[in-house]
Amino acid sequence: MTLRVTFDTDDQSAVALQRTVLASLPTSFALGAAGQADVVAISGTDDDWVGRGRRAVEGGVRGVFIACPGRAGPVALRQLGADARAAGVTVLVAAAYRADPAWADCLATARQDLPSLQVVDSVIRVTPGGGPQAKRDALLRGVLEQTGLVEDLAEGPVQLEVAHSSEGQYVVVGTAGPTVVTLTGVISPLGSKRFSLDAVGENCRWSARFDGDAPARPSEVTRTDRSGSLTAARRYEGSHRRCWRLLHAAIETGTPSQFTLEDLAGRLAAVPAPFADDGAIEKHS
Amino acid sequence: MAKQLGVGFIGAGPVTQAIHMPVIASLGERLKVVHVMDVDRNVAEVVAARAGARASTDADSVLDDPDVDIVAVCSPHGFHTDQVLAAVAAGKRAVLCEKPLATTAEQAERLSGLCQRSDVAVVVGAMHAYDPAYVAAQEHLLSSYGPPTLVRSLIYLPSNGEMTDLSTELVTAPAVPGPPDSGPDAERELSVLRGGVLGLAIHDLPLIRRLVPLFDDVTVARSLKPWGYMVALSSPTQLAQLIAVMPGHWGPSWTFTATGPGYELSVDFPPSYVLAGSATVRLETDSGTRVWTDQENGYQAEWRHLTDVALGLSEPRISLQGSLDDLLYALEIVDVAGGHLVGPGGGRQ
Repeated sequence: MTLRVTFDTDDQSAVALQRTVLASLPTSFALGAAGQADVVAISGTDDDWVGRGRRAVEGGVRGVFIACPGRAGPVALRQLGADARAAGVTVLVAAAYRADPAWADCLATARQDLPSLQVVDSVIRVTPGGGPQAKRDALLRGVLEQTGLVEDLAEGPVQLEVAHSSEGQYVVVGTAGPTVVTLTGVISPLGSKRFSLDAVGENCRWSARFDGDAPARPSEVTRTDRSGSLTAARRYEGSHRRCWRLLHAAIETGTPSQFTLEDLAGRLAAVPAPFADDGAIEKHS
Repeated sequence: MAKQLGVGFIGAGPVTQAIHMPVIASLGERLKVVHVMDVDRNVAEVVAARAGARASTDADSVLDDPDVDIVAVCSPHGFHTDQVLAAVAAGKRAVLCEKPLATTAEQAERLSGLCQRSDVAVVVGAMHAYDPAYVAAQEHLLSSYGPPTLVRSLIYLPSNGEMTDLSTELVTAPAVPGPPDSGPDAERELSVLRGGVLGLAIHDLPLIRRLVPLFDDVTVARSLKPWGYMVALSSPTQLAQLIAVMPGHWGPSWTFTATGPGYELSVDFPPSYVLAGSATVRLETDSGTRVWTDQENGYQAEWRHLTDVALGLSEPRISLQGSLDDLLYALEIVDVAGGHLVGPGGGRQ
């Protein structure tokens, strides 16, 4: 079934990206006119994105796609999630890296290795639109992406605290069981997004690289041990396309979305100071 | 043909056997090992015999040997300062001191008196600071771009034994039991961190100090298992992260990155123990990616440079004062980190 999609966002770069992605799923999705949509796409880069999500849910759509999830109040998010569920609306919070197909292929093996890993070290290079608040928001989205991926790996919450924070970068450290976690974010000097994750233990090492902005740029996920290394097959499908497919499948089958508002709310609630200190998260509640 | 300079080793452990002797062999037209001292007589004799050199069991014999032009101090860390001072007092042409040059600020102070003397050439075995590809890239970077905001040194290595087996057939002294591992956790963790910074991180600290000259705080300080560390140095505008884990049952990985306005520098260093050429250095900017490589590794370049210094053909690229400043930078990290130390299990010490 073809689902009609409209956008409710001021973020034109998000619209451009998602339109491009949707063009690769022409049977599943088609762009529709406002008021006739099955799915509304919004962007977490808008200040009032939670309100836009609520408007979509109350407007009777079947699904809501949230690109670039960002700053919001956890309480408001949980309420929106509950209301959407009650209304039978499927909400999918797009995950730029967690949903990556190559990473998803490797996740089960990486989870098996995790107890023997000493360090998980991730660096994200983010690309803000401009201005100090945009930088802070971009860095917040970065730490949310990193935390989500590490919590996926750890299959549970990770206790984190900020070790360093400045206008253009941060270091967050914590533990996932016996594993030390360090998450670093920096404004990209070259204007392109990059995400790396290295996980190192005595018996194996993992390296994941997600580079570039092209929608279908393949990531590279490699596991190395004493016998050599194995790099997952290149999957020329970006995480956005996979998220749209997941949303379509969830709507079609009536099954819950894999990436939920409650999950995002949990990560926002756990975001350590100073990301939460400026009050910008709770004021959205 | 220029005179071959004689090298005398004080200490003939794995670093001497697996790193310096193969490197000197690769520069055979300029250098010759003439004297090998080790406290273990068998080690001294076997290692010396391999090079056709004299063997002894006391450092004074090396210093008294008139054929020794360059003294290589490769003894345990705590002896370095005294032996460097003794080599200088003996009037040798040059001294190569394995890192660290000293282990305390007091020892560093004793060495500082040498900085004013123009006739003293003391070079520290900080091979990455001499890696020809890195040196070329760093000069280009510093002359063309602003300081980095983020610098990272990541070291993941197999056991030293696995690597030394690839570069020599090691002769070892009978194992001497170490002190019992029964101290308080905090002392053990601090010892691991101190050993990690002064023994391993110190290879990259001269590079980091050049790019991040000052830091306000050590915001992350953790020891890692089986052995390693995680350290972060920060200032309002710069951050340096140092992570090491070893040994692991996988290939070595030693990388260094610097991210700054308009560029990303990434360096892939070869393992220290093998002659695998220089680092591969990539500088990515808006105008493209430039790559530097060289046939020689940092140790070869350092010994070649030291030979020129000993012959009076060149001034030390890194002065003794510069090396002492690198050491004080490392000691400050250890001092400040001690107050922030978190053990591998996450508990604050």
